[in-house]
Amino acid sequence: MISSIGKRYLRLLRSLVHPLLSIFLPLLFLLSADQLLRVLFPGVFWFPRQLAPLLLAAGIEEAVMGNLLFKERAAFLARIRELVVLLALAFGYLFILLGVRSGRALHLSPVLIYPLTATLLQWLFSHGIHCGLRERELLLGSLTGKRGAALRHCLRDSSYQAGLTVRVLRNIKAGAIVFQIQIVALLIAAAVLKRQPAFGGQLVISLHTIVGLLGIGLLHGFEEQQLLLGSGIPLPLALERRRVLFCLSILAITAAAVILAARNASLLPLSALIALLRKLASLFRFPAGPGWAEALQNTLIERQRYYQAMPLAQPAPVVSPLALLMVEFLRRLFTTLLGTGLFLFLVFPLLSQDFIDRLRELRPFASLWRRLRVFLGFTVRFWLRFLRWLRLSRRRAFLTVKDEREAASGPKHGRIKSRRLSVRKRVQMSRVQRAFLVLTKWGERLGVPYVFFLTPLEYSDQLSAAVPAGSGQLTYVVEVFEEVMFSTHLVAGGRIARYLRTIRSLSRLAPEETREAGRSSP
Amino acid sequence: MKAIHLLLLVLLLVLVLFFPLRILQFVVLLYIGVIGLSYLYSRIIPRYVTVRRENKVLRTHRFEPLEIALIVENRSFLPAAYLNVVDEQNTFFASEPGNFLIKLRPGERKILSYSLESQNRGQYTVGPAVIQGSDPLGFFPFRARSAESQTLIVYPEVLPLSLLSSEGLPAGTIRVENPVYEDVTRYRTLREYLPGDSLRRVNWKASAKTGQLFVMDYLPLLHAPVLILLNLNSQDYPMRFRYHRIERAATLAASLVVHFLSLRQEIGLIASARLEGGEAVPVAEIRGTHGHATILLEMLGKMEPAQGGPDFSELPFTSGIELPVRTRVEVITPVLGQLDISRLRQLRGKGCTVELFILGEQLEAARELCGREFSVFSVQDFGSDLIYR
Repeated sequence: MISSIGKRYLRLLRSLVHPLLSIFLPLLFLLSADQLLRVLFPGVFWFPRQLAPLLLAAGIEEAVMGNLLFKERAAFLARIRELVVLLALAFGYLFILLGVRSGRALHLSPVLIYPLTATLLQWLFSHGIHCGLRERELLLGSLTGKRGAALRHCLRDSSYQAGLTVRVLRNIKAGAIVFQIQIVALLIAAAVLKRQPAFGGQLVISLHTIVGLLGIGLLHGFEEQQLLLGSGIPLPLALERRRVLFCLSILAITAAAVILAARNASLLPLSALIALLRKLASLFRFPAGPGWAEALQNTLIERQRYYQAMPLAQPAPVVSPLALLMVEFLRRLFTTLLGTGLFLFLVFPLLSQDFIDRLRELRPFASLWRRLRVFLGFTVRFWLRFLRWLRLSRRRAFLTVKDEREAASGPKHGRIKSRRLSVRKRVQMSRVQRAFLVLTKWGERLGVPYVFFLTPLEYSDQLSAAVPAGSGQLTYVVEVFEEVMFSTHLVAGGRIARYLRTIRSLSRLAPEETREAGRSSP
Repeated sequence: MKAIHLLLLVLLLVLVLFFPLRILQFVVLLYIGVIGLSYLYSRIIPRYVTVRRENKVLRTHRFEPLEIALIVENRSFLPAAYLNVVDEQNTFFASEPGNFLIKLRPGERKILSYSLESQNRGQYTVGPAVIQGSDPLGFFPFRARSAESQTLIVYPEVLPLSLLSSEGLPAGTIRVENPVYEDVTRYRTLREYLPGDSLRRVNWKASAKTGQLFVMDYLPLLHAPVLILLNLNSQDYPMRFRYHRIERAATLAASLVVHFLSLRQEIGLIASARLEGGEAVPVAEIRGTHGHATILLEMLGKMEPAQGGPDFSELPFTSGIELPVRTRVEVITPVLGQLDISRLRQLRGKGCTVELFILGEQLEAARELCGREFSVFSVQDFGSDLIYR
């Protein structure tokens, strides 16, 4: 059962588990806090509506760029540059969303500052969590492929990294707990003020609680995994998955039970608690003013009125023309300096020769296109399967007695049920077939055309007669081709790669070379 | 449950009881539910997951691997997502540590096994096993120790010996060539009469049938009770290689026990040593059963060198052990003084055969002193060839 930490597991952590944690822990916290602030300050007009996509985009951007820049071993300055670009984009998004709609330019106002601050916080939190979890990735990366005593020794060698990872995991856990406490505190304030969040807000807060508990559970699991690694036992992925499912089931069961028990009424009145607290305060001679809850309520109402009155207030400053000129000069100077600084910081590095060379080397568009093709392939395949499923389900739904009779007399009736091949198997078959077609084209160039009644073996014999030097390679090609086409199992990736390499090397041989090779071979 | 958990629980209960807000109650009840379920889980699982062992006592020889099996059973109705079972091994060297990571479904039973190898003879305790784990969310880690442990007796290493048996009592089980020890109850064959054969051995029926004299031939079989006299007095061993030679002496004694057991002889043991937890000199009467051999091996396994005490050569006379005539006394010692030799001569005078196994550098001195009277063997310090003449 116990295997070592594999590269696949590391990839899963790096590309899915850690980014998800670093995105959703702060995202749900910020959204919950936003919802509760809206409830607590209903008079405030500048709470933006489309905060969730902005924060989600910031979190995703941080995770993706974090992974990419980690691969490139980019410095912290690159991350700062990325943050600046992100904030600029967020500003653009807000401009389009709010500025264009209202038909006026955006000034430095809470309408702008609030979402930008939230975006900044989301990015910073995500960055903090992601960087912390990166330490774990580094540690596990150094332990890949090891088990038993070798694993123990390796962990001992990386003891500094191990200690750092535990510390970081504890910090992240503490952060998640602080998020939870803050939301509960805001909820208490809402309860004191008798304010009820909307359904969407309640949903976000519930999700925040559930995801927070799950996150804490996962972080505990990571710590336990490290302890086990110290004993030379790597935690298998199956067990880890089982534990996560168990966590989820506990949370789901509890949430289902609790949702029925929660209501908008308390068993005891709040005044009883206040009376009890007063009694306690009098026992300890604690100077608690009477009616502190009411005072808090009044203060909040005053603040609310203040915010309501804010847009109406139009201050009219009286300043001299010289001062106005100075201010205008300073504003322009600041704008120019800011623009120059941004150009030097953001645009200038993109024009450097190093960067251009690196881009040429990396070929990002080609890579993007390749990934897009894979994605499109998956999408098309999924869509086709979905259509097929839809067609079948419809046929099943409208099947009549007559159809059944027809189906019974149809050609398929009475056949032995063959095992349906998996998608991966069919992809493999397709690859192998395409490669074999390349071989047949090569054969045509050599003067050995493929005829439809020939079996692959017969055709390879003919090719071997024409190119005796490549007979061994051709035998291997046919062997793999037949195994892939006439079996139900997946052939090992290494064999397929060798098969493709062999065909590629054969098809590169020009007819003259093959003749020479044929002559030189005994 | 720690004080902080209790405080948190009280706070959460206050929130549920006094604050009339659905979402707050949902959040707080979720905390209470999850923490409560986790707590219950971490209390139930260690109580109902048991670790048992098939045998209470295990026996093995030194340097031989031994399989230890643990039966882990989940008797609760809850699944255990993963548990870490660690079996404590004391001073043993385990090829794979007794450290397992398992998952258990409700009511599932698993057998975990690992092998270990002891470098030292003696009596040891393996276990108890420790179960470590936590609830799925990891709020309440637990660590439970199973009550069961296992006693492990490690016998000395046993090596093959080739010892000739030439003296003893007739009608035994050791096959010899000397016709003196012919056992008239064990017929072997008929052979032609030779001058000097007793007329009582003539087979008259066969002779009458063939017209030639034929005599009965019987198997010569020897019986030699054995007494192993082991000197484990640590003062008699030189400081250099003391531990190693004491272990070598124990190995030789165990090898002699197994050797003579395979020849189906009666074996006894006297050693100038002390058993674990006792001060009495280990003495075993001369007997010939398998159970007796096991007792001897266990004694050899548990023996520790004596600090001072009586001379080993004095023990056959003072221990009260009964020595039958023609007993083969196998003396294992690093040194041999004049007094020892005179006592061994006394034993020979009682009809015993004495063979000396000398450890270390005193071999030549022993040969000079009594090489003509007793068979003297040298005990090799290393290797699987334990003795040579």
